[in-house]
Amino acid sequence: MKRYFWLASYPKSGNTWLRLFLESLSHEGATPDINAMAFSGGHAAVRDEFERLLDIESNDLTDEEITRARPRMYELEAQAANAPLLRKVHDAWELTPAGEPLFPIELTLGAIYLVRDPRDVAVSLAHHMRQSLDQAIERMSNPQAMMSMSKRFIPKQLPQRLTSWSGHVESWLEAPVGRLLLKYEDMLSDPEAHFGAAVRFLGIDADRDKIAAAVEAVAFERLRSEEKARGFVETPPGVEGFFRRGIAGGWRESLTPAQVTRIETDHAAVMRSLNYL
Amino acid sequence: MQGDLTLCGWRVRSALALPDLLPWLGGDSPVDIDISFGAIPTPAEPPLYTLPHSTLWADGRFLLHLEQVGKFWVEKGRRIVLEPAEHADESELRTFLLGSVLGVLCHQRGLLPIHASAVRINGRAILIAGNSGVGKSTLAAALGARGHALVADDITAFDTPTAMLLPAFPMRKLSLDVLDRLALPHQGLIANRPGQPKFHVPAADGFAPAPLPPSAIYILHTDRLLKSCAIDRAAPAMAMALLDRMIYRRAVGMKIQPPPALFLGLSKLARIAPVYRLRRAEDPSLHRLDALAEQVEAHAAVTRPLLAGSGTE
Repeated sequence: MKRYFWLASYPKSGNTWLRLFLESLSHEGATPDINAMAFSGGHAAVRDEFERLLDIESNDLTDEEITRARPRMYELEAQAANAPLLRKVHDAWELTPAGEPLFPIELTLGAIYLVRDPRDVAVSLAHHMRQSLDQAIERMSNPQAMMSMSKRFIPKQLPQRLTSWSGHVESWLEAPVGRLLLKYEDMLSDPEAHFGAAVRFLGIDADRDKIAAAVEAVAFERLRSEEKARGFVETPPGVEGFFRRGIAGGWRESLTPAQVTRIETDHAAVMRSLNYL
Repeated sequence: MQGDLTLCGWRVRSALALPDLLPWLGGDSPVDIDISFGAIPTPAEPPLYTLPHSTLWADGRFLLHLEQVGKFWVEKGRRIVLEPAEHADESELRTFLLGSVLGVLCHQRGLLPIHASAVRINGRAILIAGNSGVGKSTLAAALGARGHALVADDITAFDTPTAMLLPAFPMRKLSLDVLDRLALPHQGLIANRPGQPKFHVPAADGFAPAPLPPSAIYILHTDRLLKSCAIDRAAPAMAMALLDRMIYRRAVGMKIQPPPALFLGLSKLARIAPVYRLRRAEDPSLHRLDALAEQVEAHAAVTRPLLAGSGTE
């Protein structure tokens, strides 16, 4: 029986960057195969895994029944595991309709929460979802927002409750679990320090040279050219590129003053607490 | 009460209306499966195996429990007892009865249930296997639109001794986007679960009612790096590994049947029907669906079974 590290974030906040860094680190700092992450490729809401572990057809379950069953899925997976489990998460940290944590506390070793300036998230999210900026901003303010929900077909991932951007941040920062908060902007400005903090938090044994090599291996330009050359399995169909700009403050060129005001109003308290305002 | 019905070639007597099943036309043979409403038996001894929705006792006695839908007791491959939850509607009972319960029934009867849809092409059946949501029923329906009869949707039972695939029942589960793409009407269709985008679609006019030998097995995957679709033969060892993952209700099945019996079934199936990996591009708009069906149809037309599949070893 083993327990989980959750790599949690609102979408487009650096989660995949961190996972690719960890993947590189598991290969002594070599360039990772972005389409075959073995060490850190796991995701907490994979439909196939849910079905395999619970031996039930997820398509026959309602969203509520799926959410109720997810803690059981983690229990079964943890029982069978022989190494700590690393899982990417986009769900908010919440209780299921049965009143228990979606991510069982007793199975949690810790959570790394990645956060990014919501003005940059809005620009990146709009691109990723092929939506307008206003739609992305609206989504980020919606306390009922979901991921992987469709009224037309059954998506590959299980439905995930995002809540609003602020709600998401608060849910994870208030969760009663050990936690490391990583800001995207810090990961950009001093990658070795902040990726290094993640390495220590996860209890991975790696010296500074190895960390530096892995940081180098997942430098934004390298990921972008890898995607260009080979494609990236996590890029949604029809989207130009998953690794798009990888900068902080790009919103200044993309958002109208009204859009900036809307985001800063919607998320004032949380933005202030994270020094984004 | 409705007359007796046909499911996988069995004679079924059901207290629950099952409008998607064909009537029993097999004459006077005894009833194979009895479905009734009643109190669920409560074994005194502890279960052998427990999952959140599934409980298994000795002799393969099985209970499926969904709080909002009800309890399904399945015993000896012939007796099913239903205890509906208070607000469950009949269509939800049918969803689980013709899904998980059918899978368990197959295991209890010594069949090999594969997570696959089956379609008749040139007098034999191809299997389209794959994980949920990958597009098995969609591809089978697109082949249906090209005139190929349905053998089974989502769960296909292989009878190891005769080496035949059993026709299940004439119903497909399709999502709204597929209905629209294939120009099928959705008025009056019943949702798989209330509010879900997936519907039960009758397929009585395009159904193959007799057992068929398998001709080829396609394991369907989506691959975001592909632009169209690719069909590659899996080497024998890989074919077995791929097929093993496609056993329907695998975890429970491995406790009901001796695993060697399941592997014997798998190896016999794979020795008769070549296993192909069918990788397709993600296609949310379904623009490539017709082309995919055409490609599979053309491939299936020239693929030859490895053995005659007469049931001989």
